[in-house]
Amino acid sequence: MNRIVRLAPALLLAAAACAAPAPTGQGGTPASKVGGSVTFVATTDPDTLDLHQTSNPVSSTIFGWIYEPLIYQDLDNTYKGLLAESWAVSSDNRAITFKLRKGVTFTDGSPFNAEAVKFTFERLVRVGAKSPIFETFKNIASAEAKDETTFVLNMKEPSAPIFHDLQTAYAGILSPSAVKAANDNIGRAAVGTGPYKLKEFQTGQQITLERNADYKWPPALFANRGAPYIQELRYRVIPEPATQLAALDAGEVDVLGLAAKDLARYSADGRFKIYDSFTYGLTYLGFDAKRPPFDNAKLRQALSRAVNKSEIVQVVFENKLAKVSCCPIAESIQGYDPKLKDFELGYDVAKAKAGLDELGYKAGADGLRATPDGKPFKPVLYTSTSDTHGKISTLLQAQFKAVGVDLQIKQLEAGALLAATPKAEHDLYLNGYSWNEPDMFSLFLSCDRIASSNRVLYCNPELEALIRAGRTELDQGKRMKIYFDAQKLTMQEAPWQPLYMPVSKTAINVKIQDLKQGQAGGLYWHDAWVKQ
Amino acid sequence: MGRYVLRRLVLALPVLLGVSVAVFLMIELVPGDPATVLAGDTASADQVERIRHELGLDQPLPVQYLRFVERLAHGSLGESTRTHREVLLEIAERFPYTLALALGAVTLSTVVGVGLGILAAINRGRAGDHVTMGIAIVGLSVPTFLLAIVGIIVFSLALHWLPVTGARTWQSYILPIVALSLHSAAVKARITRSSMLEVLGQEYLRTARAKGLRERLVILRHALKNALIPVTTIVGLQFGALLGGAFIIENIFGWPGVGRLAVQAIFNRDFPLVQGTVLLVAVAYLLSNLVVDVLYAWLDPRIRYG
Amino acid sequence: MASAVLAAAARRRRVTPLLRRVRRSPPLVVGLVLFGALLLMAAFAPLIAPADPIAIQVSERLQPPSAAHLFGTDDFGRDLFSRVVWGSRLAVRLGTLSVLVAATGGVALGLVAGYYRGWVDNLISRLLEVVLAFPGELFAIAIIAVLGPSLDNLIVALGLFGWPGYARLVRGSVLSAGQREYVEAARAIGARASRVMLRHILPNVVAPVIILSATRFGGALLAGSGLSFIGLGVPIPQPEWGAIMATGRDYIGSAWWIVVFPGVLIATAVLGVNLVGDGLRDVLDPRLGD
Repeated sequence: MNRIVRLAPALLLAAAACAAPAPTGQGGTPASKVGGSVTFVATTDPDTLDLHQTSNPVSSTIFGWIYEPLIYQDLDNTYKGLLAESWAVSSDNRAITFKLRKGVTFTDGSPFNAEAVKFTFERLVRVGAKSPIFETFKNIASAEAKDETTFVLNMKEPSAPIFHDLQTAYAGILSPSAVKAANDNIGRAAVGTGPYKLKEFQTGQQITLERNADYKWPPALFANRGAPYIQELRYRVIPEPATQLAALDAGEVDVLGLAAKDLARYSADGRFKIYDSFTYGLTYLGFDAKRPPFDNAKLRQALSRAVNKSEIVQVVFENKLAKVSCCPIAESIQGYDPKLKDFELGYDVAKAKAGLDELGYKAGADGLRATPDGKPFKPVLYTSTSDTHGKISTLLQAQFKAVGVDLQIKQLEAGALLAATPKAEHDLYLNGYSWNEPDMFSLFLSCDRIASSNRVLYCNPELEALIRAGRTELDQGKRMKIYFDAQKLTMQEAPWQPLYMPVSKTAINVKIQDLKQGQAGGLYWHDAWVKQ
Repeated sequence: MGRYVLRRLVLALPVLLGVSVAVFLMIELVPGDPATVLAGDTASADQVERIRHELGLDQPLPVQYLRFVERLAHGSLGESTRTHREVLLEIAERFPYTLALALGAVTLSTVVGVGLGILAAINRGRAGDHVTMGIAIVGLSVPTFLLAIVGIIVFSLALHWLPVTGARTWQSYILPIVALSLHSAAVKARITRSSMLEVLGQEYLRTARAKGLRERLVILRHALKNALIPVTTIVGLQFGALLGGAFIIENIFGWPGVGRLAVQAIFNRDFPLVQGTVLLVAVAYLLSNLVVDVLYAWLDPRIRYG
Repeated sequence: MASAVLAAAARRRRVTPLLRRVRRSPPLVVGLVLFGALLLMAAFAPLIAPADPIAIQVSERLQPPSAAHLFGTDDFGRDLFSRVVWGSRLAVRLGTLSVLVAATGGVALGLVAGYYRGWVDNLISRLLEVVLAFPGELFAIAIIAVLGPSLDNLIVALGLFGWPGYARLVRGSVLSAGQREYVEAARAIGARASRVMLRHILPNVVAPVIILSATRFGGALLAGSGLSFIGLGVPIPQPEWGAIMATGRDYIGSAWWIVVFPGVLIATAVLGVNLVGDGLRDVLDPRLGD
């Protein structure tokens, strides 16, 4: 699952047809480039193509080809118009007026207009409890279609992170007539304005997308001004990693995110080109900050010092598929500030030991520490059954042992883990987040998410005030200052020890030409074509 | 005979009821409900509660069970919580692939297993016997997933004869069928051999050898029919088990079968789908048992039904 | 002195036919040797293994087999030979305990069903069919998902759907003609039910139960390694063979030894118990003996 999650944002950006570097002159007539197919791997079964009813990583990747949102996030993390040409925020910061693009049609032939946008967002509020952006839309007071091309969103309170949510694939615009024709069951009847349309959904096997020949509204920076060149895109379901590699070798798939161990082999293989990209998120080690003993910040700080992040990046990722993270906001996300490194609780065995000694965790004859009241100290780390999390846990166990702490590992299948962590059955928690917005704080570290997505159960009124301020502040400079303070506080209080930011290395068949890559590694498919 | 079949079908009902109650209890024990999983790791408590209500999970368990039975009476297994499609439809899409694998594996393993068993029996004590039984016991001892991976490495990657994944061409059926057949072929080879020997008896065999070739064949054919009775039982049991889907093999080959659907349903806490697949497997198992018993009667007229 | 010699001779006389039969069954000899080796490896793991099976040594990652590391090292630089040797303990525990759980439950229910017959038998038989009709692999996966990966949970899962085989076997054998007369006679002289079952019936079903257990032991090792292979077996960093193979399949092109050695050991161990089962059948069930 990890692999596809990591891959998703890059493809998504591409599918949403983001700005690419200025095109160089293209040789050959477009017509000669049309055709061919590209096959991707789906690590899990995509469940439904109803974008309001799922957060399934494969489904959301596919949304990116079929549906288009109003705006997209550019490489420099600024927002640009996609189905919207421009927008304006009212003086009280509570209303956003979008001017919509003209001449856009859905793949069922119906026109794109403000009514369709209104219809889509109202449906999201009505049926979208399973959508990751549902909560944000609870802040919407009303949606208005002023005229054919003017759409207004009225919010209950100002919201800075709403632009992030509006650019995700989950905020794609639906064709109202198609939704009505399908009697609201659009799980297999997805119709959008995107460069591709659904051709075939073979349960458990493959999803086939077909080029939208009528597509003619790509962002200005693409050389290709019309429909995409590649005739068909396929998502083939292959859950088993070893089989995915075999399928890549056998030429059954063209695109695959690689693990560190495979990198050398595929780099040397002339049939593939390796593309790098960052992921908008990081993996952290969390402490259950509500319950003893880890409600004590000193204990969290001491154990944070025992973590050797570079060893994790070296052993698990061979220094290639991850970068050490200092701070809660990943390097790839707006709000990251290298100056925060000064506050990092870096690897320091002596300080870790001294901290534990000071708290009364004394080592016994076997070198393992006991709690101050003399019981064996065996904190339990909860994490998923993923291979990567297993490997990191194994290393953490060894690193903790070096300071005399006998870490226990409990790996739980995803659903059980989701159920266990809000109930605070764990002492430590290893997980990652993927959210390209500094407001990730309000999801993962705020008080009102303690029984749900705040899985370290950390609640600090001081941080809470900063999180609130960050959500409603629309001035970029001031907002980033707030997140600097929020990060500093988090790093000192140590509910999280950020570990690393994943880096994607994707092997892509060299038959795919003119695939462009942005500075952060995003892949841009709209100019790409397949050499026959 | 018709009456016997009817009685067996009626007797199967309490078993199916037991299975469905067992699934319900199992579901209750699994931590995490569909709402938590559907909402994902960024959801708020509100969101989870809302989904829970939409799915009727805020009702007491007995009420949920009664609703399930009520739906069943109307011929519906309910809707998948994840895809919002009829559970029967979900299963119907996957079942042909599982059925194809099961038929293929049962056929291949029976042909190979019974063949090897006969070979061993008529060569009893000689090299042919030792070699075939050696192969059979090694076959019983190798993990199936290992065979599948070696199969991919050799036939897909090194020789380029067979595709790695999917179920699109007839070639893609070969590796999963072979991997699934190894174990059952080994079991059947061993059973065929021992029951052949039991039927033939040493004296019998010696007499047959002393006589001409044609008569030996006659005796063998006669012996084989009787020897096949216990093999039939095994074929039925294995077929029933295979219809439940083979999760590990389906996972390795990316096969769109029922096994993967069921396990995915557990991971997604898609309870109607779990309930549906388990009931399907139970029905398949009970039916194949019935067919076996009927075949028994046909093979062995001494058995009578009351 | 003389009486002791006589007693020893008598004992020898009694055991000799069995021993001779054992010696005359090559599969049993080979099987006992393999199975014995597994038990010895498990018993003396701390003495045999040169290194700590979970001690990480990053500088020694992915070393091929050598004098220092007989089976090479894994992706954490752990000595694979030591891991595989310690893994035999997990294998023996998994096999023994899951068979024990299944056999205890199955034999007890089988005895009760066969002894009392009537509605008790009917009830147990229906229960048996429910379990048999339930997809076992799915059930095991669900249990591990419920309780989290651990050796004990694996044992429970394999034990819970392993009992019907024993119950059927024992019930059938109690209901067989010879047994029935025997039981009727014991009952007639007023023996207590538990006494009849434990003292008179149980000894007669021991042989087939042991034979079935040998097969089940191997089956448990295979099922356990299969579940470990998909990450639902024993928790890390325990050196379970299937789990080691699961790591190894990722390195199959670059570090073959991680998959090959535990794979060979699983197959050999299962082969061993299967041969023991075959051999025991030959020895204990004279109808098929040579």
